[in-house]
Amino acid sequence: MANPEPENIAVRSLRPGSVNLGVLALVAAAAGLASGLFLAFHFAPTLDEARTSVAFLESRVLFGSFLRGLHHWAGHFAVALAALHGLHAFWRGRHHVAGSLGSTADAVEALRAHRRRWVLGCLLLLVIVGFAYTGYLLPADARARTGLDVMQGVARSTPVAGEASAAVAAGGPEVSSATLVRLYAVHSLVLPVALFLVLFAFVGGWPRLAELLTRTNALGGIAVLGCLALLAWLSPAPLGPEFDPEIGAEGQPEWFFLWVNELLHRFGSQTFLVGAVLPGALVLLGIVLPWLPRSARARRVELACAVVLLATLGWLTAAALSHDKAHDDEATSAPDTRDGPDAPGGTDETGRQRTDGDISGKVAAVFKRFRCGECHMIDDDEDGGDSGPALYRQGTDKLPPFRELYTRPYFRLKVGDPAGLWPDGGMTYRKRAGLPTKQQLDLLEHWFFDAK
Amino acid sequence: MERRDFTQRILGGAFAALLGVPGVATVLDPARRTAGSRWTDAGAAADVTAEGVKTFSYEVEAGWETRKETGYLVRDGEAIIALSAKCTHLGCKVRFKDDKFVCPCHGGMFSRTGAPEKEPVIEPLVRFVVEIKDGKVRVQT
Ligand code: FES
Repeated sequence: MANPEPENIAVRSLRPGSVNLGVLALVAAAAGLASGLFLAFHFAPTLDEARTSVAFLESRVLFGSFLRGLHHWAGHFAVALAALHGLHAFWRGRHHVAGSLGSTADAVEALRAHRRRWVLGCLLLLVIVGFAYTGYLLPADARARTGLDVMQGVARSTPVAGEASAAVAAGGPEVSSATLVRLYAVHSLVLPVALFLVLFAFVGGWPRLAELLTRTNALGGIAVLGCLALLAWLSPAPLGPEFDPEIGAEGQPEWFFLWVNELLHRFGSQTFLVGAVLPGALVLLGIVLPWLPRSARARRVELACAVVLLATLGWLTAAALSHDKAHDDEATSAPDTRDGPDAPGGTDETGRQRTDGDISGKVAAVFKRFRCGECHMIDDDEDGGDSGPALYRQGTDKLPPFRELYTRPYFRLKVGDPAGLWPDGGMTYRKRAGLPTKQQLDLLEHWFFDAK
Repeated sequence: MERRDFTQRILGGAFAALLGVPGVATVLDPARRTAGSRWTDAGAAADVTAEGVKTFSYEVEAGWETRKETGYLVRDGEAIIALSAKCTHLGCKVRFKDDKFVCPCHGGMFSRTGAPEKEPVIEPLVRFVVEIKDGKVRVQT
């Protein structure tokens, strides 16, 4: 060992008997790596096939949904735990060397090792966030396609070399399969290698890893695995609808990028500044912390700035979330222009005005568009078909068969993306009319579950 | 020290079980799937003459895709035989040449009706069930 200092710090910084968030983040990251290794067997990184292959894994492969759920939650846990670990370190002033700085060779060496470790920690966090960022784009569902466009847009906003940056980011002039292949290479090759290298330096060699797994930490790790298993089982990873050019952009990025997205939204003309320079500057600020002056006063300023910064990020995130919700509501209540001029009237096949005023015009338009009535009797409408179960609103006293099996997520899957369940999903409408949009699905869900 | 090793071991075991079991299961999953058989229209019976062969294409569900595969129709007197193009040695696609099916991979050869004629091929080409109705050929693949 040329430089024994880092590992001493790694182990010394463990407090016996208390659990170390960094070690827990590592357990989550390891679960992410292991599950990702198996997911790679099932993923086709092309724009046309990515979502299809993921949907196939989710619906047809035994344990596929569970495995992807583990991967999804492991990523979220790793990001959250690593970020908390970093904040904790900052709170305890770990970026500064404790005690007075002498000028002896030892003290200088200690300081260097200390800074090195801080920088490595920052890099580790960056790598983990990099995993999460590329990971959410890979399935190429509607949300990811939106994210891919934004990524390219931010790259394009680079001064002087805009087009060149966009082309490098997207692997071509437009987002294409080449973009996904790039992201996949980064996600599954570059970042894992980077993780191993940085982690190796950060903990000071693999033998140290075993030492970091004290009894408390090992128990904590078991708890993390338990949470991952439970979440993967109860709340599988989301897979959005296919990208629909008629609807265009849809969905928000992962929660830890919401603040950037909100800034991009607010400062429309300053894309490069808020989308690249600002996040970059924040990262840089985090990295150079150990070089900033240290005194009691500087420390107070530092903490105050951190609080303000965190509050701002939190506020931006909250704003993005409420903005997203408002957008959803608006989309649901706006007349759906995709249904043609006669949509709100709710006329049926023969052009006759519907007699059941109970079904509000917009839902009726959706039923009509997908010709649900060909197979289902809807709200006692005698003209309805009978090859599918009769459908009733929640408010009626008649309930369709197996109503209790229809949870909202299942309903959305069954109605919104039946092929995601099994081929055809027992629904035939998509051959006639394609998949419903999110707004249309919202209307149906509302009618089925909430309408009185 | 001993207890620490114990919890470490439980963590390792839990990790291996939680990730390994579902992971390996998904990798082995294709073994559960067998290609379903379906009927494919293969054109007019009159097009299949005593000379040469006629190709037809059929679909196979494989993974998340539906792949197009090619088979051969040959006339055998009154009957029509539908042959898979897959060589029975190691599965290369055979070609029809000089009234024989020749495999480019290891020099195997089949007769026009799919009988093995030259090593390393020993099994005949796979035959699909054929149905002729109103002059149209249907093949169960
Ligand atoms: S695969 Fe045809 S001869 Fe070997």
